Amino acid sequence: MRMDDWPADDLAALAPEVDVTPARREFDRRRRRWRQRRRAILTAAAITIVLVGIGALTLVVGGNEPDTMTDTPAPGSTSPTNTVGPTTTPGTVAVTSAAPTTVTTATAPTVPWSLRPLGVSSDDPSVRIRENNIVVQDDDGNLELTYQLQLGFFALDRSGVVETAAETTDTQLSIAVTCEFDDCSFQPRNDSIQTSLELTVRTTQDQLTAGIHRAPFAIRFDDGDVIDFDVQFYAQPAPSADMSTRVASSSGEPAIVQRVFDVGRFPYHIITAFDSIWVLGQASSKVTRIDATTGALLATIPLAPPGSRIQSNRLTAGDNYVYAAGTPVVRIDPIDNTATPIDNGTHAFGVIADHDTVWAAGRDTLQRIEPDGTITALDVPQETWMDLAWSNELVWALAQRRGTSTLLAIDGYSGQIQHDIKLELGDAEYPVRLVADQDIVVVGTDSGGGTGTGRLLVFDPTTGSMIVQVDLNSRPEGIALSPEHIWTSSAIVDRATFQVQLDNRGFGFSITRGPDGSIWGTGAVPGSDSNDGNALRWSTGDYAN
Amino acid sequence: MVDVVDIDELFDQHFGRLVRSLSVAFDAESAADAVQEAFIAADRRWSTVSGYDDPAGWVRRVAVNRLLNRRRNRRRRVEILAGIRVPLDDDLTADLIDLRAAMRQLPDSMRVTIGLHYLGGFSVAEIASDLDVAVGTVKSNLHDGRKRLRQLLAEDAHG
Repeated sequence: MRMDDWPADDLAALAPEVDVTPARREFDRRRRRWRQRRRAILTAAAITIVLVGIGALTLVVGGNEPDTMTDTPAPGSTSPTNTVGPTTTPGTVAVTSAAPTTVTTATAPTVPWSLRPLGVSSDDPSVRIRENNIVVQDDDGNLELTYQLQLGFFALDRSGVVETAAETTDTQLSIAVTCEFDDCSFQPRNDSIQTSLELTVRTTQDQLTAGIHRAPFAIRFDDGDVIDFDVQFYAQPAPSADMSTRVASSSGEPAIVQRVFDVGRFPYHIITAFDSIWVLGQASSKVTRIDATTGALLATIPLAPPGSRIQSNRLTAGDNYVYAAGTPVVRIDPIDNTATPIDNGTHAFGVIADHDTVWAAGRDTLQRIEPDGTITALDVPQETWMDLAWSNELVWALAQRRGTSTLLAIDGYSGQIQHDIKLELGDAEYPVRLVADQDIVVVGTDSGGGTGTGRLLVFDPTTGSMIVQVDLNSRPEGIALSPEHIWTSSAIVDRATFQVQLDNRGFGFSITRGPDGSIWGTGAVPGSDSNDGNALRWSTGDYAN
Repeated sequence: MVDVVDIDELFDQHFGRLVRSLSVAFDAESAADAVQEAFIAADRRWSTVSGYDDPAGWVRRVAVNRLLNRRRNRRRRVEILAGIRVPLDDDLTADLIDLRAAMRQLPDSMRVTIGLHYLGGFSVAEIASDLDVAVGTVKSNLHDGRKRLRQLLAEDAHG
């Protein structure tokens, strides 16, 4: 055995022997049952098919603006506890449907909250739920939202009843159930083994906590079997024109004030440009555009034709376009949100723009792409150039190498190398991010070794000399610069003293600073099983500048 | 990458390999359960999943996510487990038992990375996609994981 392969052979000896036949038999059996059920559903045309995921619907209810908003997150928690004051005068109602492609949210200037179903949490994979026939009611001056939800599960020819749980830990949701059948009981349906029930969930509280709410239910079969499930909701202030005021009025520690869904899978990079937030959904090969003021989803822009993918790691913006790195580099026109590939002939990991001249970095390559499409290869050392930044009229390129890496500053037009900086890192340490403004160039590193820690290496863009190293208890995968602070994925550093002011917070995998100063981060939808992403908007609290 | 024409073929090609890979990171029952559920999920979305560049990668991601999120079926299906034969301690050398114990001390993501790479033969890029991490993170996990395993085994030998 070659030592390079260790511990492959030893692990093989520890692994079980797997006879695929029984598993295949069980797989085939469940598939047959599944198809039988689907046929039964389709036959029963009156029953709405429920075997789909959650639709992307957003419900908004009119009312007065909240009087107060405070942000007091639990230490170390990304779950905010924003509260609003009483809503006393219900207003108009708007229901918008967020289709997976380009969407503009309807104007709803007096909307205080959205409450969006996230899905169902259950050990039983047959339980599915889908929004349908949303109903909104105003009652006695209270904020009251009613969702009609449809529930699907496999009754397997058994009878039973759907119940709310005896004790609800979430006191802010008042849950009521009305069912297709009397008293929510269900009977076996001849040869059909699909049971459809309709649930209604209400919130009658005039004060909601932003974050996840859970409405617990149980399907109790007469044979004693029980399927427990939670219907999960995410409550947050709805997109509205006053969102920037809400962000600015927050105080104290940073807290989530808004969560935007449907930003693609694996939201790998996020930038601010053209009064919008742009999120790169790496696994879905799409860029999502969000209104930076209201948080409304403006557009979803495919980077590749249907059926194909582009592996893209970075976005950048010039004067007139947004660019996505990849094979090829893609140019996005913010006027009509159309994407146009630029045939640069190689894979670009990083991309940076000066006006609308673009540099694309890859393995052993740094290309300059002129606005007219002319491509020039610059002479750079052989490295995997994984990230780019722009400062002091220079292109800064960062190599991804463990131990000793390289930070290069090059005149992007003449090709002359201005600074060739060796980064002396730890044995396992490696760079993960490069950002810059006109005053500093910042390299983020991962310490390696599974420690989850990292460092910031801060350089003077004029001299190329290192100003300071900042140790972090977190990995700075994302970095955003504000006038007085360096924000990372999990920390805030004072730019004057380079002291770490907060750490271990979890602002997002990738982060950016919005036009109003709020910090936007990317993450996975809570409870998501498919790495669907969302964008989180953070109030900056005491770290506003 | 082998072109997969239907889910039957995908199942036959990948079920055993994936269960074995993940069994060394978790327990065999959980791995078999997660992989089975991932294939069930793929079957129910096959019109979509089959259009992906790497349907097997999708199944792998779902299975790994289930394991990392500790999602379990309340009722394990004995039919599946009937095909899983875990090595008995009597059949293992002391070194292998130590290695198994050392593996359990590694973080989840490191164990998954090691299992998928060394046992499943999946590439660093494939694993990076599965775990939604950078390629460098996978390489780091492999390097650091092996180093940590050697340390633990050495400590055990001297201790």
